[in-house]
Amino acid sequence: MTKRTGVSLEIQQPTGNPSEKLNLMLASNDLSDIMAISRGDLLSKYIAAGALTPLNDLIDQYGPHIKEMYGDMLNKTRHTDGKNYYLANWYGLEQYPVFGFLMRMDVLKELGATDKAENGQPFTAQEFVDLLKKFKEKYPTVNGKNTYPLTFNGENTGAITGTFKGMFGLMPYYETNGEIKADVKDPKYIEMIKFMNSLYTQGMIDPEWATNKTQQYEQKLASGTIFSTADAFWNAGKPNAILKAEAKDQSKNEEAQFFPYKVVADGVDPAKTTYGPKSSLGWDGIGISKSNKDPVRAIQFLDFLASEEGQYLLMWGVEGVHWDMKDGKHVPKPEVLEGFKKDWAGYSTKSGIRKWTWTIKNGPGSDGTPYDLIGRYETDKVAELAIKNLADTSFDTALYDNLGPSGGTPEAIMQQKVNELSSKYFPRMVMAPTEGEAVQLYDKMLQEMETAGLSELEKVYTKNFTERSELWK
Amino acid sequence: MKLINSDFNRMKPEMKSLSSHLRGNGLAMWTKGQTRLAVIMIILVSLLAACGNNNEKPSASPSASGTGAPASGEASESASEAADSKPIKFTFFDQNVGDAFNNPVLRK
Repeated sequence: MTKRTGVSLEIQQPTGNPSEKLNLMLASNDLSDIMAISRGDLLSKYIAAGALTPLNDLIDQYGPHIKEMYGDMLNKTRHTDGKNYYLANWYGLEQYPVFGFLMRMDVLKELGATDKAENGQPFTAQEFVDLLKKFKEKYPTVNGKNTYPLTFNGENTGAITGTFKGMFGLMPYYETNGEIKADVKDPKYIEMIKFMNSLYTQGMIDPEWATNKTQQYEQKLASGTIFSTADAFWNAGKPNAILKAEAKDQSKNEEAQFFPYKVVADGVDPAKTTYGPKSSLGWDGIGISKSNKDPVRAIQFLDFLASEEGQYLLMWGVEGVHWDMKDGKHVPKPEVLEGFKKDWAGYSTKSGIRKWTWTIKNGPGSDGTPYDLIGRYETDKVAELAIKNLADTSFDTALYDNLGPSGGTPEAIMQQKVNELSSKYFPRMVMAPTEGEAVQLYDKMLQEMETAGLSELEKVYTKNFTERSELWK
Repeated sequence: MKLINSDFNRMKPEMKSLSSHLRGNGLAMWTKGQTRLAVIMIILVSLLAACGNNNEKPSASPSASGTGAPASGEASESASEAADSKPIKFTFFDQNVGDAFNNPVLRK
């Protein structure tokens, strides 16, 4: 990058709480020249405080590649005053799967679902429940250990709710009569809770699910005692590697892995399931601070990163060292792909490839190769089936990102209380002894949320949503 | 180009002003040779002004591709221009929090 731009960087990454560090930097006016800040409250705070330079004129004069590559995304990342203060760190719409019900393909076939194991057809809720029951009947224990048809990662509640919400076609918020309400108020939410509760009361769910730590969860998946889980498909990578290596029939070792499937709730259109929430605006915003003495050079530097050449440099590395151009196409050196397979983080740090994900665009470059070498160039069998089964469930969450109240406001405290209530009641509702008790808990949760100020919060969601919709027109 | 044009435009009235001044002093009747000389002077001064502008702000000049949509080959041109500029060091704060659902870096 330095060779191509004349710019060298002193990277500052916080070791502790990044929010605390950012607040301190803002309060003391000790700003870095360029800043990548998580999109949301803090970034808005920086903009409101005038700590970031408006980029519009700079982009107009010195950012031809930014304009070309970002296109309409610049319109969507405008602040409420209509100006751009940051560039999205990883942007662009992409139909790519996220969550799904992960099931062992070999077991699925054993249980008689051979046709749907690989043909891309979704399972109905009843078919899924039948499979769970059959597994429990056929394998009450494995290697002397109790089995469970389903377990979850208790440290990743978002993946659990993301999967079940996907099954019921729930969106990030409940839109009704022009208002934006909390998702728990969607009538489908309580149906989802009832379904989860019924699985639990029938003994289909691991009773320890809520306290499973990630490592413990991965060990359970790899032990052979679990048939299915609810998660993002890439989160089963470690257990899948073990299951594949330890498969009795090595000629079919691929099938020993967890593969992602679409399960559709009763009354839900399979095309309207929502397993794939993805934001087209990434998660960080990159801005030039007011302290930067040469914003022109800074935007020229960012413009280079945003260019096609910059994309390949950031994501593929250096030509001749990490990749070659053959027949007009980028071709990675085998050792690069191997390096990432063996030690992703280590190789990324060593090579610099994919180490800095700034101004990254989803999709292919002009030669058809994906900018994201490691994520999209090669796909394994699990990812291939994920795309086949679930890519159509992908939807853009950008319109709903960070609709909540600003930090430091009374509403922010309300939001915190509501979040706490949600975390408190979710496992209780799932593990309630009866459906009736699950519903009672749900009603109690809603009541407590209202007392905490949910209706006030919904006014904030609606206002922010309406303003954003207007801004993006 | 804006800088050159603006300087050029700024100078033309000056020459008109000079012409008026000469007229006021009873020297309004120019010969063809004098007219040619004046035109040459305008061109020379304009060129000098253009050189001066380029020397003043090399890093501020936009890339050759301007603000139009760049072809892929233009990226190199723009980058080379920047690389020709004086080396500069920026501090870059990278929060790098990432989002487990969307950040492929966390997909391990």
